Amino acid sequence: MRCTIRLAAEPFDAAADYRAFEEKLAGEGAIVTFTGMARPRTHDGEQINSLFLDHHPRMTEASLREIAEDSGDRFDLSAITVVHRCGEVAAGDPIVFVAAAAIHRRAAFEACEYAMDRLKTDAVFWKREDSVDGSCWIEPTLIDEADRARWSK
Amino acid sequence: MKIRFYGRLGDRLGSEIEVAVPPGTDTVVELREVLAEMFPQASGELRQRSRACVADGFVADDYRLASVDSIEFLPPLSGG
Repeated sequence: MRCTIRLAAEPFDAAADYRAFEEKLAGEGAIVTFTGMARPRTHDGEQINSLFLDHHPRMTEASLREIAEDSGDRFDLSAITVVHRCGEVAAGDPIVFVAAAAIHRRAAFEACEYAMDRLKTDAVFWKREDSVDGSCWIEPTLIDEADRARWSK
Repeated sequence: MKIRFYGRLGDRLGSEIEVAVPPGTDTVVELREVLAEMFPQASGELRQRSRACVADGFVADDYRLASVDSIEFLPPLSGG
């Protein structure tokens, strides 16, 4: 299984990462991708100017790799890539990109969803929403925790 | 001792500080108490709502600091 991860300190082009992923495939029948964008509003509807993702110099990349490898092994992927932003992310910019390739579509769909549910709770990041009214550090929501928990069954 | 903070702790206290640890501070829990008194604005996180980390591994509150010159405190993760 080919596993690549990248912690991006600058804005990235998800389409370019998709092309780089696809170029290295060898006849898989399915590619599923997910791109997460920085939302322009909080859950309460307040406007967000930007997000700040604080990260650990070593543990963050290690967590991305562990999640990507687990996703690939669990669903028997042939390749997976995870790109995740750190630092200041402008509203509307991509924050995460996951691509999963497998022989058949089901594994690729499930692996992509599993990777995202893990990333939302287990990736080593501290996220702050910066708006005109101030800044707020956020933690996983109950929905995120429930999404993560359903894979432990 | 060099101490690194992340997330809201880093915002409040600085991402990296150097602290002269008083003699008799032998374990992580004792260091938490020293820091909580030094930084009352973050005492809750320093005493309880953070995980201590040495050489990229989490350590328990009874971990001994005898040979430790660098430690990190990680607040709850936000996830990606």
